[in-house]
Amino acid sequence: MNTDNNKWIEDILDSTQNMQPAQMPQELDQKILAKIQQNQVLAKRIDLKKLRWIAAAAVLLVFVNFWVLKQYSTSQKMGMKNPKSDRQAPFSSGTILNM
Amino acid sequence: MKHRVYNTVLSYLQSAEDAEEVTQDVFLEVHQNMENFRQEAQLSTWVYRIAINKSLDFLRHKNRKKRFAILSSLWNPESGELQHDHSDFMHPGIALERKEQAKELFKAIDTLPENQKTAFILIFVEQLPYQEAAQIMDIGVKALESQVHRAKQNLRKVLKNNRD
Repeated sequence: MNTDNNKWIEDILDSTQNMQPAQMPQELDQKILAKIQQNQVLAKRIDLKKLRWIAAAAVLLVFVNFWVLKQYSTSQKMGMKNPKSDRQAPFSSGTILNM
Repeated sequence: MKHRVYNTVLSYLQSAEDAEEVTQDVFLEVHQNMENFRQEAQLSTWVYRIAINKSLDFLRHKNRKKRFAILSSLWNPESGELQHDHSDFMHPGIALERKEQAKELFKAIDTLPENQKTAFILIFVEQLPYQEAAQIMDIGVKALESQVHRAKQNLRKVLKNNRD
């Protein structure tokens, strides 16, 4: 009985001897090509999206820089109109040094 | 090469439908990463590795789904049959007189840990030389022989239990 069992098991383990590889279905070639093409289209769409974000970030950066420069030049102009206030010592009004 | 890929994937997944899906993914990845192929190994080795990794990923994902699924969802609500049951898998390349035995074998292969499953499939299903299979698995020939030996031991245990 045990011998029969063992033989049965060994026959099963040997069942792949001389097996032929499964052949890929013909239509799968077309599906693979379609998937690759679909992926290429998707990759282009993602690239465009990225480009739009980069462009938006660049515009924002330019705008912020422009605004900062404008603020700076405005404050410079105000400083030139009131020169004394620029030279005022930082501790001139009731601060620690006067105590 | 495409038939070898399909054959390997089919041996892992034991479902023609799943094998078609994963085979497409394999060739998509090959196409996407062709530029990165460094030619340190043979092209076939590289493609086999992608096929094996994709197959194992698919199986892990499927097993995760099974674990979280409520028991009832494992059965087809209309027919009452168990879904995703691989026990009826008949590899198309097996000779007619050995189909029933091969059915038992593939059922048992499904229970093996990943490394042993890969070793067994590459040697006995793909019928690759040990040297080539070892390169694909990125292990030494001795280590591969050990995996094959353990795989066979485990298969014998499973087959014995199935018979009893």
